Amino acid sequence: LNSNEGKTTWDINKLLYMDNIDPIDAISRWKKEEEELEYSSSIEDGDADDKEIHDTEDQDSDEDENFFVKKVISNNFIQRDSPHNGNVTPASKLHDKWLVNHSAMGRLKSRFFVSPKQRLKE
Amino acid sequence: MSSRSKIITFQGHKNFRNRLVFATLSGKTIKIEKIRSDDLNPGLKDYEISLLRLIENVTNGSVIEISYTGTTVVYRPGLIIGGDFVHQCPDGVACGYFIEPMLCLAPFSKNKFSILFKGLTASKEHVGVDFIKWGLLPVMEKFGVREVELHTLKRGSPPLGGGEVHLIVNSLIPQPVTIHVLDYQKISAIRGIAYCTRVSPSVANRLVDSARSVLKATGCEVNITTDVCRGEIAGKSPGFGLTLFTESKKIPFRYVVEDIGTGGETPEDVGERVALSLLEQIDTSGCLGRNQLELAFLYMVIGKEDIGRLLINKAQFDEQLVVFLRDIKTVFGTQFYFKQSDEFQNSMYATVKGTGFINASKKIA
Repeated sequence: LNSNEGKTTWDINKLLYMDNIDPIDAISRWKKEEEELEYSSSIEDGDADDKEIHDTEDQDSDEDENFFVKKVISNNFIQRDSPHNGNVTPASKLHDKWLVNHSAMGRLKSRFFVSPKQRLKE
Repeated sequence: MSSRSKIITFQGHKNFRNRLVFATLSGKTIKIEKIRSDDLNPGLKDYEISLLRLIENVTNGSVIEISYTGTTVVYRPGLIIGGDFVHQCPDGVACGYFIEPMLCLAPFSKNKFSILFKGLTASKEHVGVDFIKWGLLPVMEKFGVREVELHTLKRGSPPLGGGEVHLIVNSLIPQPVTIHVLDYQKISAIRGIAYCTRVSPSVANRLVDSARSVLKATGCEVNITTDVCRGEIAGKSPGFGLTLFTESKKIPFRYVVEDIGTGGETPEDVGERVALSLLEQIDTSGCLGRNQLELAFLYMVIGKEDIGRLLINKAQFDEQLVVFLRDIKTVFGTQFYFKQSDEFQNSMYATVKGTGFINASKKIA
């Protein structure tokens, strides 16, 4: 733990190796502070959806729909258990990110891909 | 010091393969307890026992003790000797589950490895043969393990399999070289393999077309080959799948993604999903993809006593990686240091000092 200007921040190098902290908890604590990460925000969104479902359950909402949403969330968790399942993100989310929102693709192209002009020069 | 005090104890079934590999490379005895002890079917699964048998085959003098309920295993490693074997993989588990640990052990063996794996060549849960060929072997090459071949003799799709894969490791090295990869790779081309077994050959072309339509937006050269398996080389079950990987000129690493079709899915669904996953992986990876990171980290740890550095992405940290790093510290006594990159956003440098591992069968001048 680092105490910096009154604010406590987690040092990943210590957090990773603290045996008394569960690995999932260690990652979530660290990632909560790394707000820019999309992964942590997606988990938080998932939690928020779950809470909303519980709130609406008391108001005689459609139980089948709740069951379906819960099932999807638990499946996602099971899939994440295996690091080799590289295709865990639902295709619909990826579709929106890469084919609808063109800013992500533009950023990726400029950062990673060799442009046709550069290819010709090479 | 008594021999009992030297036993390293782990709990649970997670990271089972890596723990066996760490123990074999370090020569330390490990005890894994509480394996699925709260499960309705407690103890080791058949594929884990199959892996223990394989490790027993490629080593000399290993002792494996399994408790009556199968919830506790004591593993006393012997010397890695390699050899020529045929390994029948159990139903439902891809050959990749068994090949990955062999890639960690084979370069440090006394004799060359030549193992014929029979079973599934791809699955949803574990890496497929194309992923290993295009994703993991280049990582080994960077660490000085050059003569490794993986031949797909027959493709076997789930559920019945029937595939055959031949792993040959001719490169026997004393220790891995130290690497410093501190930059992202510029991708010059995207390549891939679309395969199908016991279905219409047009399925492979449909996979290629759908992946191409997504990757067209990158403006990059896309070259996907098709592998239509017929007759005996097509295994026992119908199936199809796609593997995509990137090519870069400066750094020999590749980003690789793969997936297979399941019941009710069209080739277009799979092709689009794999192409989108490749874009996502490029965006959220460091110089290596998440699935290649563990092999690279292990080779860095057992490298010579020098500092190795690797650029990774913050999004690559997950619970499995934390368990992996903790186990490395427990067995090898060394730990990684992660430093924020000033140059790249969301990136960190993973730094570790090698433990100076030496292949027991090799002399160092």
